[in-house]
Amino acid sequence: MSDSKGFLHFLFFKKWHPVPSVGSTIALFSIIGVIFVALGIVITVINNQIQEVTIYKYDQKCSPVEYNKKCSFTYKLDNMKAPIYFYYELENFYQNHRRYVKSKSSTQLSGEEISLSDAEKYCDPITYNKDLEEWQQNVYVTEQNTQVQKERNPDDIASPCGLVAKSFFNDTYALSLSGKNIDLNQTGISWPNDKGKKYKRASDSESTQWIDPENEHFIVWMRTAGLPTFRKLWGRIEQDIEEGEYTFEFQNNYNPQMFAGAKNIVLSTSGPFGGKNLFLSIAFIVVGVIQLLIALAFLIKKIRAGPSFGQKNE
Amino acid sequence: MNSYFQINEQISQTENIILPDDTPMKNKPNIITTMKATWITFLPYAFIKQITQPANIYFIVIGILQIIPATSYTNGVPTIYGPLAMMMSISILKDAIEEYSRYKSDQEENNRKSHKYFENQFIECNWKDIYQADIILVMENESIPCDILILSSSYQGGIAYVETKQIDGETNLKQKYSIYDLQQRYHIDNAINFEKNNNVKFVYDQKNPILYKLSGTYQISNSQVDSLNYGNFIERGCMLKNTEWIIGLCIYSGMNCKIMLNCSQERTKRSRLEQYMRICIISISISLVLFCLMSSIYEFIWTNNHLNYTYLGLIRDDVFIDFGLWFSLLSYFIPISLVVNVELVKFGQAKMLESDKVMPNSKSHQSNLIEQLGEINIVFTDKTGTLTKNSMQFRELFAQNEKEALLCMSLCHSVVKSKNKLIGSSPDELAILEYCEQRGYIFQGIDNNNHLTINKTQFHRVMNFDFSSEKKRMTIVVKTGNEYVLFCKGADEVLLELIGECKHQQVIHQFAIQGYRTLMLGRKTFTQTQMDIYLAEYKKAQEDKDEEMMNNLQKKLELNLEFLGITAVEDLLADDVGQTISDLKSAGIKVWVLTGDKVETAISIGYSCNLIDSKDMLQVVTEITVGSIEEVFLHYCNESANIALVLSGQALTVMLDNPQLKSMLIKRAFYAKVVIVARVSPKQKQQVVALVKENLPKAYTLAIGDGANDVSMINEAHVGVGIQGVEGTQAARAADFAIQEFKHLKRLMFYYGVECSRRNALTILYIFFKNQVFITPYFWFGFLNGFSGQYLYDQWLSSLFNTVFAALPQVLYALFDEMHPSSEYLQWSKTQHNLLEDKPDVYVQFRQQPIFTIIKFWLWVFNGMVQGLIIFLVCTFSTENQNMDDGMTMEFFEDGVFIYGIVIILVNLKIFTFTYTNYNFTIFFIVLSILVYWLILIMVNDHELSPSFNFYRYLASPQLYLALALTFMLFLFDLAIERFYDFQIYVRKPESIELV
Repeated sequence: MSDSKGFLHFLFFKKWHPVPSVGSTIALFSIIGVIFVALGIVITVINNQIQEVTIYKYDQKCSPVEYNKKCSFTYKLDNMKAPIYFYYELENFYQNHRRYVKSKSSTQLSGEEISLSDAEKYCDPITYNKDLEEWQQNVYVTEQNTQVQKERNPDDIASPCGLVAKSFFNDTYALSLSGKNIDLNQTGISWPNDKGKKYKRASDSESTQWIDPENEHFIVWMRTAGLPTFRKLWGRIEQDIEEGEYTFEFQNNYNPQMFAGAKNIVLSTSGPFGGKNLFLSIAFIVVGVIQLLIALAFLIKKIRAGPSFGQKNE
Repeated sequence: MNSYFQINEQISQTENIILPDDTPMKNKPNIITTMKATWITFLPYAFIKQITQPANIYFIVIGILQIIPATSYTNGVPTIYGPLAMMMSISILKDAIEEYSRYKSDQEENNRKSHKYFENQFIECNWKDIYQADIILVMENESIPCDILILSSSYQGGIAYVETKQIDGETNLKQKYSIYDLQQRYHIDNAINFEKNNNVKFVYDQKNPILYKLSGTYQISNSQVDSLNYGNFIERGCMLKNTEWIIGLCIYSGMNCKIMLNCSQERTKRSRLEQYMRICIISISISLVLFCLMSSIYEFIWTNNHLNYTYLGLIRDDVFIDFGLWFSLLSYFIPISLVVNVELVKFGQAKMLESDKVMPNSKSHQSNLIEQLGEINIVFTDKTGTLTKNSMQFRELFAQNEKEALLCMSLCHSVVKSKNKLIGSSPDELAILEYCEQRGYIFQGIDNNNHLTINKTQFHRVMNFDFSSEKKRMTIVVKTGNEYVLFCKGADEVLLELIGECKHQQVIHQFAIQGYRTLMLGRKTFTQTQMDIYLAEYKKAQEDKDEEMMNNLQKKLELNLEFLGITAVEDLLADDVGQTISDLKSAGIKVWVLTGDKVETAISIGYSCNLIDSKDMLQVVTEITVGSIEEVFLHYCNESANIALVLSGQALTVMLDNPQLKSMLIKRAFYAKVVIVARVSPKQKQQVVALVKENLPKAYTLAIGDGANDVSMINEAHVGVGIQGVEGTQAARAADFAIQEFKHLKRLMFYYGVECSRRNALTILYIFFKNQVFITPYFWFGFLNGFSGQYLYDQWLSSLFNTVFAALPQVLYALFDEMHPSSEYLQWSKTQHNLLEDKPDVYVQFRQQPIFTIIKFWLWVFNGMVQGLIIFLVCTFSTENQNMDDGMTMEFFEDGVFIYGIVIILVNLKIFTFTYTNYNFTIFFIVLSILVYWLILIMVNDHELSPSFNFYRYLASPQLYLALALTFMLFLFDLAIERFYDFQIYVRKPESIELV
């Protein structure tokens, strides 16, 4: 540090001119490679401890397959440690499509009234009550996800309007073991800032809206997914469960033929890195190995080419 | 620059001035203005200039696409206009600074002092206060403020000496003379009567840019009309020398002066990098169109196949609207900040160059060419004033009879003495006479009776044969007592012939090797009778105007000359010229010397400045007929690499006119190690440069010179460098870069050229790269959503990418990175030499393996696309459908915020992979650029505008850090490739093949 220049000068204008050497490069890539591989192994080990159960096309388990009906089936589960997350998963559903994503009104969802022109601008093509699904036109879905019949003017602005709201996934589930209900906690499933802020019920919610925007299943649905196969949290089982034949009872409302896909149920436990993630464990190992190969390439080149490789003629 | 040479062209239009009635023409002031607009019109001018730029038009169109609802993904808000306005403001600011510096230099020029005639006396005034038809007074050593006709001068005969260095670079004095009939009428002693007594009408050519030419007439009262000629005329900028004063009439003022009309051409030189950048912009535009076409067609087909997905609310799409949408989505393919960024960076680099203390007084007039300095393979240089200082020093006298030799030297010359000053047009003779004075032989002048006086002895000059370039010698005969003595001084090859046998060739050779200009001295005595006969014969020949006879008689007189001595005069080389030339040569750069000087002098300078090795084979072509030149070429059939080719200007003219010889010349010249062309006119200098450019598309030329005679070649070459003397000269002003001395060329090319070409190339590549990384996730996302054109990043934040989140570090890199730092701390004004200056091999390496090529460009773009893909995949698959926080999953906008954040981290880190020197503050700004994004996210967390958002919980998710760690591999891969390349750099030997 130069005295005449002073500390501030040093702080800002000091130069760093690292001259990389072959040795340091080999060391760098070896160390990082080892770290990556190790991390990959750790993730794999953790993944193996996480239990994940997928019940594919659960609606097909009832025969005949009928909609807007209750239905139940049994499924054998192993021992699982709480918390156990209960997801529904849709396949081939494009919640990420441009026309779909933009078709909602944030203003309306935050509890304010919107003008007709705004409704047309933001919610096209689902602007009026009459544009909604039949079951939505004369109903009010409460925060607790129960339905109350309500008369609605078909020419009023739908609230919430738009394609995302209209396609709200409304299957409901219950789980029991030998007639004993397993509690599925459906609160706190949405991001905490959403409820009451971005999603807030209007002052006269029951008479103007077809669903309470503070219904958490609704909030979860409105948060559009990025992949065409996605899962959304439906509830939590906050107790350990034992091995046994469990009865899944569900209200079969949502028709997967609408999107030419399937609906599944996923039950998953959780580890320190969240749920099961095969991608991360493989990716870390692969990248780690590539780093090691790079280090090896430098080493081989250094041995083959001799001192001319990496010698700077300063 | 053709106008310089159209001497034969006739000017049909004329202007006229009638004295004293017309004085002054108030509408034609002597004001020069090189500003492109006035203070009031500047803003509209700069704005219109900006919005008519092709790049800006492109972004304006993108903005329009953003406004049209059907193609808008920003709710009709043209978000692109934000960064566009910022970029345009920066450009306008830069223009304003340049405009201001033009204004300042104009002011400086306009406020120089002179004297004009006003109310019967001469008063001091600024140049700008002079008007056409004003009568002005110029004193010795003052510059001429405008184009004038000389009315009178301090010499009785009306002679005036001017230095025309500003016009043609020649430092010898030119004789001009006043208009004969006006010398007395406008003498300074009559100043009070100028208006009363005189009524003169001048008619002359209308303003025109043709130098070296003026014609016109004048008429006093109603007497006879007489003609004016070029000898009465002095151009603006010349300097009055050895003349106490002159009085002149301003006939062209301000921008109408010939020199100004010559300067008005706009230059449109572009560096190789700029040309390549244009090609790249065009090709990436085509690829953008292809991407958009593919995407929109995919979208069109997908939509039509999925109309039954009612939840999507699909309608039959218009493929054109899809195209427009994708176009506005992917518009980042052409980076908005590119042009401004590159301009700004070069502007800064040029300012650094100008403030460099190691090469003081450097100027950069074309900062866009700065990187071209790093990719030169042919240098054309002027000799006098560039390689040499143009100051002659007497070095040595080799004489057998020293007394006689000194007498010969002090008598046989064409210098005159006026007011104790030696005045002559040959700097060699002046140097010789100065030496004689030192040795006590003081030349006192020559009187009207042909008496030369040395000290106090008078010599009567009987005969005088002046020097001419054909005779190459000067001969006089003087009478001392009863004896007649002939003295002869001239080129050694001529005198050797006259002397016959001479044992002193070794001495001449010795002098030549040292680069001295040698002259040989000879002497012969005659008796009275011999001389009388001879004089009679000569007189007869003179009367008959028989030139051949006169020449023969001179030869006869000079025959059997007695050897007196050899003089050695050195044209002092400029500092470090030898070292600079040999470094240029080891950088594989060919040096061509184009000089107006003699062939012999050029060769001797060639030896003394290391241009020609003693091993080299000299091939001298001075013949002037097609046949003889062919013969010479065939004679030198050896096409080895060690050829030093020397041509005379006349031979060159012949060769350029003959297609066969021209192709022979081209072939020969391009294999030769050194080419020297002597006795060339300014136009030929330009022709030679043009010839090289035409026939060698891979040649990048640099021309360096100091005089206005070099201006044409400076303008023709890819880069023109002017040597700036103490007084700013024409060449330095016309040049793209101006330096003070030839030796600074090394720093200019090896340090600034190499560094700027490296940094600017990487900056351009990087800007394209980072925009690819940024925008391609949109495209890859298309595969997951039927190419519906859904965006990923928050639209407000994404408009800040090129202006905030990835903006400053690349500018700092381009300004401050150094391969070999010359000091421990940042220096704006450099005070130390850089290691690169002594590394011609690095220069070769960068020229042979340029950083910016079309292939490299596509590699970088491709790398950007792949990195965009990998970031997209890693982020999507490590977070989507993941239990992020107590089982909750993510929305894709949150994913987008995350992808965007990682893009910002990676593109900022990328700078480290190609930076050699980091500063604390550059590291700080890289970190800040990354942090500012996350800081903005935290700030808007609870705000309406926020895209999601549950930022703190989201930051607590381990998946994010794992994904970040994974994408860090991209940085590491780049680093590995960069280092691998760096470690195995090897330098090929420069070969002339490189050019062909």
